[in-house]
Amino acid sequence: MASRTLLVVVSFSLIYYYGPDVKEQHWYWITPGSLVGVLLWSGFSSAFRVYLHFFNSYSKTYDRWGR
Amino acid sequence: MIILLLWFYVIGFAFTVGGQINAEIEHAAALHGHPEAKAAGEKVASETKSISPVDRWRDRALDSGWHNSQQFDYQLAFCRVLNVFSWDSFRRQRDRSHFSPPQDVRGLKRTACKISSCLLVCAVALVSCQRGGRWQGDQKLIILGIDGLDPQLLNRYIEQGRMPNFAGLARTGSFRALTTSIPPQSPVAWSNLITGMNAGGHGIFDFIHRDPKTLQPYFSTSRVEPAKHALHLGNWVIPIGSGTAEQLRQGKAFWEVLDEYGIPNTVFRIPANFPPVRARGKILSGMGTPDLRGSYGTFTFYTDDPMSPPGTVEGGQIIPTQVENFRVNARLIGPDNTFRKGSPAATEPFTVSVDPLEAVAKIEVQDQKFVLREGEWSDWIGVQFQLIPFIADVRGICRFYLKQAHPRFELYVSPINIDPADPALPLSTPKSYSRDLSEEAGEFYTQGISEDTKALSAGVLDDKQFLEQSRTVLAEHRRIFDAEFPKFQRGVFFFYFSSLDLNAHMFWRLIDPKHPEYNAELAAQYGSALPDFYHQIDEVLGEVLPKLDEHTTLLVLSDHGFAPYYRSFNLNTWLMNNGYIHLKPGGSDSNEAFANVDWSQTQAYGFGLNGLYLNLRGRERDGLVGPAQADALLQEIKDKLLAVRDPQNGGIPITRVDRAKDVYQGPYTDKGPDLLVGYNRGYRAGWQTILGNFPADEFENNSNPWSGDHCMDYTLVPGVLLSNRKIDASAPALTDIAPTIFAQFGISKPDGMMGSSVFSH
Repeated sequence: MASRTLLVVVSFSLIYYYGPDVKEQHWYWITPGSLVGVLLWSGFSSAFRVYLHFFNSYSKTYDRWGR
Repeated sequence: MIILLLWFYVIGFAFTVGGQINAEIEHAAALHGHPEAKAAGEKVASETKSISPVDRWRDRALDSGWHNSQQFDYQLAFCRVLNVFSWDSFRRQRDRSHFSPPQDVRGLKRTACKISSCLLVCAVALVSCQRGGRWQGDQKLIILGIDGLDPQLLNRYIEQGRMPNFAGLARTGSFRALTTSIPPQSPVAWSNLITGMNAGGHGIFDFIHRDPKTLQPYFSTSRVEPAKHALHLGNWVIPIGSGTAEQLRQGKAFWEVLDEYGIPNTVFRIPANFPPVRARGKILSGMGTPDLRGSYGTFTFYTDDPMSPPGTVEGGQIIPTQVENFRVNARLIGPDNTFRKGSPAATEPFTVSVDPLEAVAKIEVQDQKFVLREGEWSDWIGVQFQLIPFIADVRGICRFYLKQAHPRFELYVSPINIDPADPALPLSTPKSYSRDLSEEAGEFYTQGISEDTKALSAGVLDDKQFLEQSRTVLAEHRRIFDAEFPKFQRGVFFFYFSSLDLNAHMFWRLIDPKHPEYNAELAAQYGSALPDFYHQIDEVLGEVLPKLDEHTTLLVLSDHGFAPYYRSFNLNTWLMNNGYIHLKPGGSDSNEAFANVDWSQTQAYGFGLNGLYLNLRGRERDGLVGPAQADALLQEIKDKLLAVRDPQNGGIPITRVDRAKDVYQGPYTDKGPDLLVGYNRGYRAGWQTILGNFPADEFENNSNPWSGDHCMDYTLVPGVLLSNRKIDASAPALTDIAPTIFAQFGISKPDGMMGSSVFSH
């Protein structure tokens, strides 16, 4: 979990370092925008997990009678 | 691919929003007198005259006069929350402590606090309205539910001095036979106890039911349906809508009634409660809970022995493997991946490195490595099955047993159980309860029938290995009991043990010299296994007895007793031989239920362990028998069944046949069998006939290690009821237990509930 979060944070830092067309580039590990972005990413991930949990279809297997 | 594209889109959105926020902050900083901040952002000053979108929203609202409405206040407060977040973060980041915050931020914290407080008060009020009044009593009711605890065996072991605590309880309290359910099968019996009704009221008539329109079998206690609609994208299947896990037992469970009165309760592994009904107490589901593959338990056996036929056996799968350079590469088989077209099983690779000299192997599964000696069991091993890469996976736990390293490689892997710490399907209420238990008492079997009887029947495990596995199950239950029982302060505490039932099924042949599978040598080695399990249950009772006080009632009960299972009676073969079932030309040698049956000439059929159904017009798809003929036909079949004699020994195989309408009360009476066949002690329906097949002979010797049973005449296999109090009922029944629980707490028996308290109140 921690390594995943770190990976996401690094991704945001990289994008925000190389992405903007600015004169001076500054490296920041965490910025307000990256924090919001990470939260959004996590929120979408959780929402998708919830979707898979409640709207999944792999449980179809459970209507089979014993094997 | 579509899922990945969608995922990239979502990630891109997150990056864009984050970038926009950073740009706005830089821009705001520039406008507040720090032009150097502009260098870190993309915007130029002419792009906007406000410091942020928050200000634009505010200005627009002010221009429109919207600010007079209550909605505006909320909108403004929300904007301020955004602003203070970005501003404070910005200030920390740039260390601009001399900055004063922009106008919008002033007073923000006070507003946010007000809103938060209002929300908190509303939430508390809502929760308070939903909960009933709290019960303030100090009564305690402890129920030990011991599946299959047989009164005859109990008396025998008491006389042998193996059960001192039971002997003491019987002496100082009460000990009665407890009338079991019709038929005496665990899901039916425990449902009687749970609801205080018989099968006509709770709708559970057998382990399996059939759909009258298709005659396909399904688990009687629960049904899981996939989403009705799905989007098919190439090889992927995206469900639209929700699948459902539905419990089929009807009627209100006793703990639901206790909840209504605010009486605390803990119910551990009671059968026929999967998925667990919504409750406030701590409930863990028991018998009926599937493994991760959706079956009652599917083991896998990896072997390079060419004599082991590969493929599916009952309750398991034998997978041929090759040992190359002392290394085995194989795959664990998980649940069907219904996100993929065709629902192939999700699998995970594992490797086994076999020591060339020693009988030892190293097993690597995902990031776990462990070493097993020959004849050694692993601890629980967690396995993550990937359904959609990086997005959806499902976790299970399993145990490995290295049966043989040389000269043949033989590795048993238990059914993949749902991980209680991260359950893929609901196991408990509250949902966190199974995780709490696993953290406190370690991982444990979650599949309803934990003892792997199928592996013993298939010869994959021998008696010693099965016994070790069974002992592990009981040890897990005792660990959880030791963790949970000391916490019990008041209300109801129910704890279920499965060990006596499953081990009586498998080891009866070693305590009964008359059994066709009796083996004196094995009996000398393992004949004490069953009495030892009885003794362990006595030890559990020994932990409970010192805790009893004047406020505590103890019930120790079982759902049914036990009997030998010497001979099988193939009901469908008998019905066919007597002209009630007709096959199409070519006979029936298929394993499919009722394959090749000519329904246009079939009047009745057997299904399940004790059920006999008419092929009734209007109910069955090709119903033949009209309602007017039904009574006479049922009476005719009943009379003939009671007259059947065993050609081998002249014995009476069937001692009782009940009409459903005579023994059931409730709205579901018509859903069950028309006749309930009660077998004599020593007889039971054959394994094949219960699923609609037609073995050649009406009678067969039981050569399966499954050698004891109880699916017989219910009067011949009663359970037991012991209590520390005087039981006044002369013939207590399972349906009396729920009323007894309610009477303990002064609760009136709900409508529809049969029976009455076993105590005088």
